[in-house]
Amino acid sequence: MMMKMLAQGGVPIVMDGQREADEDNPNGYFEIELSKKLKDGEIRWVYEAQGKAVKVISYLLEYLPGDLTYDIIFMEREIHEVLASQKKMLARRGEVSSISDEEMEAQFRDHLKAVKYSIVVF
Amino acid sequence: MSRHSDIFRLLNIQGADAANAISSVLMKHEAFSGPYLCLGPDLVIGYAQNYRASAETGLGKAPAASLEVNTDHWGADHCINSDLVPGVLFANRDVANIPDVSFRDIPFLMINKHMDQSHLKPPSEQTRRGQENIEERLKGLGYL
Repeated sequence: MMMKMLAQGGVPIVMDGQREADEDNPNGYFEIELSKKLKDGEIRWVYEAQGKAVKVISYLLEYLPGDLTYDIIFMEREIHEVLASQKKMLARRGEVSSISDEEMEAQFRDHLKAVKYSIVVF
Repeated sequence: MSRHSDIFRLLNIQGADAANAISSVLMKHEAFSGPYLCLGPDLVIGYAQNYRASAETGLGKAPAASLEVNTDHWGADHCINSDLVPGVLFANRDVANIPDVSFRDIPFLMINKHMDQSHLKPPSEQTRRGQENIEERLKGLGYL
């Protein structure tokens, strides 16, 4: 939704349209597949994306090149809603999670705390 | 006279030291945005180092001389180019021994103690097991 709002507001979006719309995201995914490879060192595309908006999940933020400056819109949603949504998505994709909701919630909370701190400090 | 020629003239004002007195001039739409843009000044002046709007100007007066030597205490900068002074730190003690003051120095300035940041690690190194579970989850969702 945020990416769609930015696009409607005239912000150029970096997306490749490779991930097609589905039941979970009927309006499509405003993503670029290369963002999934940030952890593997695929960062060249980020330099070409300067001045544009790109969707990067919190897990991958720390792998963005450190020599660029970013304006970050950090989207946060109530953790139980996130987990409920994820369960539905996993079920539709035929995936099974071996991790309990409680454990996942605790780990997501720790992760978010660390990511927020790293955005400020690093 | 056009706005652009005004800007050109302002940027070419030189002091007795032959240095430019003004290093940036922005039109209001370049300096500001938002619903109150129309209330902004036509031009936003950014003075160069060693120059400032005079105290009299700040009080609404218009001295005859365009440039004059400031013989008063330089206790503040008026309208200096924000690129030259991107932020201001107010402190009630001398910070001359702290080069490149950062917000990270605030604990030291406040309580005279340095913050040990050696334990700080990126998220991937803080909660290893949790990271693995999250990674597995994100892969299952198609985000990795």
